[in-house]
Order: sequence, then C-alpha cells, then structure tokens
Amino acid sequence: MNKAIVYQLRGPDSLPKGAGSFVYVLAGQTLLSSISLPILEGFRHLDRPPGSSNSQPHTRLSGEPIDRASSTRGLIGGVHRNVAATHSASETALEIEGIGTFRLDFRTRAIEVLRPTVASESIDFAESLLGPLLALLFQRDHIYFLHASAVEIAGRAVLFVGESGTGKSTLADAPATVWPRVADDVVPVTVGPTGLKTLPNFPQLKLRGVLRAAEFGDSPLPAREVFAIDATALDGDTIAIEPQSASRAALTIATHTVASRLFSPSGLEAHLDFCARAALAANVSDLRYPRGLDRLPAIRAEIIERLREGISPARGERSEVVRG
Amino acid sequence: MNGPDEQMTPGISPAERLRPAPQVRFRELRGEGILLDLERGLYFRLNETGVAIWSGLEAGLSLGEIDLRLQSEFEVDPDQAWRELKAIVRAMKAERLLVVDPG
Repeated sequence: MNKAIVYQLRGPDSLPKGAGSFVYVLAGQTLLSSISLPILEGFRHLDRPPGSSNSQPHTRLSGEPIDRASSTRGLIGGVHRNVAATHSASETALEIEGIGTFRLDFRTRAIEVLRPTVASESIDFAESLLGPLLALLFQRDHIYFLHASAVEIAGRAVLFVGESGTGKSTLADAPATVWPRVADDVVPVTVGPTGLKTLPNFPQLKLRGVLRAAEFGDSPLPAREVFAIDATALDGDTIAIEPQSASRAALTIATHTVASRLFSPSGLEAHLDFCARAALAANVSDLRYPRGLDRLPAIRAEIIERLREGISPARGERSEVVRG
Repeated sequence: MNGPDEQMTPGISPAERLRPAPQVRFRELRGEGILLDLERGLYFRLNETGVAIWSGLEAGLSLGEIDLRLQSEFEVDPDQAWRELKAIVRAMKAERLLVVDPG
C-alpha cells in the first residue's frame, strides 16, 4: 500500500477561510482544503487524518531564480485553454486561461489559489485541480496521471490509452460483472519495486459527471498490461495485438502522461525515469480492431485470451530517431 | 567506408566530433534507448544502432571511430554502417540533440 501523503489546497482571502477544514482522499492521498469542493463530496472524509495540523508552513514565491517557463494547451471544462507554468527550484506558478492563477509550493505540498476567475464549485475549477494542478503536485512524489481508461481483470489493472475519440472508454465500458472499472479518464499510477500500480479512488469527470469513489475500487492494483489503441481501424474481422518494443513503450507512456509538458526540468528528468521503469515493468501493446459496437465483445474476448497466453515484449526495430 | 558523395555530405564527415547536447538526457532500455530534450520537453527513441552511436558520441569518439565500432558490433559492411550512421546523425542534428565538440 502506498503511504498516504498530505497535500493542501489554500484559497485566497476572497473565498471563505477554514484552513484544512475539508479533507478529501484522492488516489489514496489526503488533500486538506481551505475551500469546500462540493463537486468532490463523494471523496470527502469527515475525520481529519492522523498527524495533520491546521497550522501549515507557508512559503511565498520568493524571488528564486526562474529556471524554466513552459506552456501548453489543454482541454479543461470542454474548452481548449492555454496553460503557462513558470518554475523555480521549489515552486511553480501556473496560469490557466479563464480559470485562474495558482502557486504550487513543493516544500509544503500546497496549492495556493491566487486569482480565481471561476467559482471553486465549478466543474472548470475541479477539472483544473484534478488535471494540471494535482498532476504537477503529485509528480514530486512520483505519482503520475495517465490519460487512460482502466479495468480490473483477474486482480490486475489493464489500461487503455489512446488519442481522444479512439474508443478507449467505450472499450472499457463493459458490464461491471465482466470488467470492473478502475478509471474512466485519468489513472494515477506509480512505479516501485513491485512494478507499475494504479492508485484507487480518483474522481473521473469525463463523461458521467463526478463518479463516486466506490465505483472504482479502493485498493491499489498491479498494472502489467497497457494497450495503446490505434486510431487506424482494420478491415474485416481482424483484431491485432502487437507488443511494442521497450523504447516505443516508454514513449507511449510519456505521450499519455497528463500535463507532462508543464513539468519543470527536474520533473521532466524524473518523468523520463518513470517512463523507462514503467516500460520495463508493464507490457505495452498496440491494439487495433474494427469499429462497431457489435464487435466489442469479440475484442474483449481476444484481449482476455491474449492476457491468458501472456504477451512478450517485442524486439527493437530498425535504426531511427523518432520523436515521441 | 565512404564514397565521394558521402564525403561531400555537408557537416557529416568521419573526422567530425559531435557530442550530446547538454540539455539532452538518455536512458537505455533493453538495448534500445530514449532521449529527452529538457528544454523543449520532447522525447525521442533510439534502436540498438542509435544507442551504439549515442554511446560513442558520449565517449567522445569521432564519427569515423563510431563507424568502425558499428562495423564490428553489428557485423555489417562498411558502406551500410556509414550510411546508417550518417542517417541517424543527420536526424539527431536536425532535432538539435547534438553539438559540435569544441575540442
């Protein structure tokens, strides 16, 4: 079991104060919030976690030299927004277009809401928190968010990654008696001595609004298989599962890590190590299949059959330098 | 090792000494490799040949010395080794993964 870590979310003076009054447990980690987040009510714990305190150390962005600025565009609240990050050694300032400005203090594991432009009750605020903000904060503790769907098969998590619209949620959306869901959009994972594992109870905001934690299990699961859904539909009845080489697997994991383009230089280097270790710990395979809802049972049966047989990592490919 | 047209390829000659750019990190994975450009946040992958070339560049070898190493390690003929080395080095240069060794 991953040791729970306490994170903080602090609101500005314009929002009602109550430092640490609200306790949420996300991906097995504790978030103490001075702001009520009604949208995450299903993840709220009424008891304060042992060892936590109301008086938290507080650090200002303190004139430290800025060592990198980065930016990207991301889909938050159904809108493509610019997200800009400025990093110093221990802090990151994050500006999310139309949502607000935030400061992440890695020494105290705190998110400080500086200038919100949306209400903390809004879905846009929740998506920002559950996306780039927590992704950047958790990353310092080697927890990464993969943009993926995941199901439980025989006590293990099986992940489906792919570009938006490739059908990963549809494929994972089997009856719970067949494939209990682990996650529907974002899967928190970490890699350790026992390999890659998913962390439980992370809110999934994608299609169904906020889903309660109980729907997604309450234990970490070993994750040994990742399927990368290829957008190229095949003709006829062919379902193709082809193992990726280790370097391709690492790039697949890198590509599908949430907010990785916003990581600081040290964060990027840690992410490189994570991708390398995850690629060696899990089998990553390309998955191509014919389109059509009526084909889903056959595709799921093929996946289960291949898991039963075991999938071996692929050998390397011809010489090339390929950008991921 | 290299014919007249190869000798004339701009910027790529056996005597040339290139080095991994300082902002690039490398990790080896089952004989293959991944590269990360920390400044641009971009990832790249290398196969076994690419890893052998990258290791030679890290070790401070000239392209000609790396070429000889490829011929020996992969048991390929000189033309093929130089052709592949040239293609990979050209791609690495285009992606700004290399710098010229100041000597």
